[in-house]
Amino acid sequence: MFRKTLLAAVAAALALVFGPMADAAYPEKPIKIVIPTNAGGAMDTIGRIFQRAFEEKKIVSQKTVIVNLPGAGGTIATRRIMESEPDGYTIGFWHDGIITSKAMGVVDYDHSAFELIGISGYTEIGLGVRDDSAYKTLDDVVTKLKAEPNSVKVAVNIGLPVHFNPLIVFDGAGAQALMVQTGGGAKRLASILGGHTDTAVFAIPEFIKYKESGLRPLVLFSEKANPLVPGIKTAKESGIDFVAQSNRIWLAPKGTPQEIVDYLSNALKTAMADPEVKSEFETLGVTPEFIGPDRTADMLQGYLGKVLPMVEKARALKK
Amino acid sequence: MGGLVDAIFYVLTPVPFLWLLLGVSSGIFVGAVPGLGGGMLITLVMPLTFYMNSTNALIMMIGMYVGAVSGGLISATLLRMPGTPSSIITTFDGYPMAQKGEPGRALGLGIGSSLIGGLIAGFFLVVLSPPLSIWALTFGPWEYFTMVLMALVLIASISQGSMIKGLLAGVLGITAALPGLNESDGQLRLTFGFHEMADGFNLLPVLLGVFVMSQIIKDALNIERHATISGSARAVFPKFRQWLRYGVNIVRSGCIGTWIGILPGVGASISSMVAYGIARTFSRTPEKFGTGHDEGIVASESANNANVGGALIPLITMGIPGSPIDAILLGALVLHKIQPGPLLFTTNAPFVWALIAAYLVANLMMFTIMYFSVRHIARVIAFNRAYLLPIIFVFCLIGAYSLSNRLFDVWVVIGFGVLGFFLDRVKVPLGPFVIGYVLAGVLEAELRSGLQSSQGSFLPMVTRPIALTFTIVSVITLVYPFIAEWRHRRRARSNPDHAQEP
Repeated sequence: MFRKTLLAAVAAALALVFGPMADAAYPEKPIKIVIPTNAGGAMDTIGRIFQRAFEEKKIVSQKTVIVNLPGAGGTIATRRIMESEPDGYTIGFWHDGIITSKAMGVVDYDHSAFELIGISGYTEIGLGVRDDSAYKTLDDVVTKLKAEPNSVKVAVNIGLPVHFNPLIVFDGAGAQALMVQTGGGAKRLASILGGHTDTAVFAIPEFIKYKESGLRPLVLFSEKANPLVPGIKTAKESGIDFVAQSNRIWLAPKGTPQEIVDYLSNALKTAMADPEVKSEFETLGVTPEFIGPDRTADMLQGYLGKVLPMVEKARALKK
Repeated sequence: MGGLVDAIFYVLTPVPFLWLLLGVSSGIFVGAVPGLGGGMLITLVMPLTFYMNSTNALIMMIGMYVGAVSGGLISATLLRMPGTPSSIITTFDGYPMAQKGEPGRALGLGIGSSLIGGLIAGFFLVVLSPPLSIWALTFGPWEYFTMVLMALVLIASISQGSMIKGLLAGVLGITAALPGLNESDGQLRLTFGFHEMADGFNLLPVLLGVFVMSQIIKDALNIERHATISGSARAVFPKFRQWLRYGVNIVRSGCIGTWIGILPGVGASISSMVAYGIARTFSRTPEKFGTGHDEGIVASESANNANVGGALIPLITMGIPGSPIDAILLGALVLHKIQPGPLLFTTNAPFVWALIAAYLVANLMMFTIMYFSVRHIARVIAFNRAYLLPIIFVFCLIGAYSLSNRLFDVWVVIGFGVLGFFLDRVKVPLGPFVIGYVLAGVLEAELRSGLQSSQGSFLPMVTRPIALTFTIVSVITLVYPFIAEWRHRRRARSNPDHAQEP
């Protein structure tokens, strides 16, 4: 008797577990979000904001799991995403380095090797100088460089957008600046404030945070001027046809079914419309604008077009 | 200075205080148990701190550092087994004194000197750090390059044992840092086509391998050897008037310890060696050293604790490790997304002051814990390591995996564990290995950055005054042993009797 009851119970339990699986829609198990930085970094924070929003606001019916895979300029993580099963259970995000890593020859794939889910916000970026610098505008720098090539030192992190962007801007102005490998954001800041280099790329939140320390914005790469840094012109206004920002680009493995990509794209969009998420993004200095897959592809393709002609120059920095 | 007061109040609030207490007590424990050490402990807990507030995580690690350097004196005194390398010198006089029936006095002297030595270094840490960090902000790539060069030369020349073995360890460390995405030219290097190698050998798995896994292998092979303690010891604290007698010795040893700590790459064991040697030279009774002389214990213990504070100075003001354990702390900072360097004082002053405050409070805590519980700790030393090793082994592998969720890192731990074990077997010191590994990246990055900004010229090495100073010191350090050798030989030739001396 007991055995029979047990059997029935087991059967019932099995039916409960496997029953819905047969015809359930995506997602039916936890989704892994691969993040190319350590836990605790700015990128990781973004991932965790989405993780919480997906769960608390019931936007995604399954749990999400954050997998931190730092290293090698984000390529360890992007490779893991690319090589995962295209079933929608392993996705992730990275920034515009996805374009420059291939351009530099570090990896042999770029955004086109993925299904693009969209861009979940971006930070506006631009060049900054030390407070007491003689340069007040981009034109000042360009004038100096035209009179004396290589006389302005730009602190960069080689092969990444912070390296390519100034290359593109100065090339567009017909000037030649001296690129100096310095490293990540904090090192570039130290280099500028210590007077070892003249200018480097920073994001608007950094311009605000380090104003007291002596960092001053020079020019923005944005579409239009930003009230957060009043009086600072854009590269476009200075006559250089270049717009760039630091995007959070969501990627799924190539071949992921369209309906799954749509589902994820919608989930991001819904989460970003939430006022709580919006305010968290604003605290981080990230513009909480969702950009759909098609426009994302266009933007990245456009950026690739700007980056490719610079590759030779970028690789020349190898002393 | 207001920053320091705020920071001390912060450290005394319950949460940081408990983390610090945990750090100091566990540090004393691993310091006291022969075969376990501070480097091992800090590396092992690093992955566990990923989700902690980074200030509290570093506060705890500093507590571990202070505790581990101090705890070693217990086993050094009672067993003639240094719990950590930094207390080797304490065995010279601590153990004989304990054998003569005064274990309590030996322990009391050691604990008291540790505290005073630590506080002397704390004074320098508080006073020197702010101006140094402002000065270091003027350091460009050339200053950093020449400074790191000097550090590497120093390690080679003053590391324990032979200079050749120290150099070999340093070079091996540098080699281990080469593969992976090269920060200076954005290209992959020495990956042999394996994608797993694209990030090279990561800091944490390498440290876990060299410090933890190698020690596990070593301990596992000696698992039969148990330490036994005869009788129990209670710290007997010498009277205040007696301490005055040691005043000169303590202050001198504390200053020596601090200074050697500041020198990049040199660990606490060298500090106590030098302080002991100088104390003997200046003593009116040098013959008593080594027979259970109180001055010997005082010199060794005040210097090794002072070394900890001194070594924190270059770490927080310039991001250059002053000792192998500081190289681990440097890694912890980076993993916690804190960029070490002179700017840290400007961008994150409360954090820096919290570390300094934690160091000061940790010394007082260490003193209190050791003074009241030395008897119990003494009993713990005889702990059977067979229970501990499997736990450490598992934590070590989990820790390596959790860093980047890659099995590759687990293999790195095992590989470097085996390498570390064999290096230790042939008496190649592991300290220079770690320093070489950590500094290789800095050395290359700064040199190439400097060459890029000077457009290929090496001249700034001698045209910039600070860089020139470092260059000169490096050259002298490198050349001096050869000159000394040459002069020694010439003297030996002119005096044939002398030549017979070993």
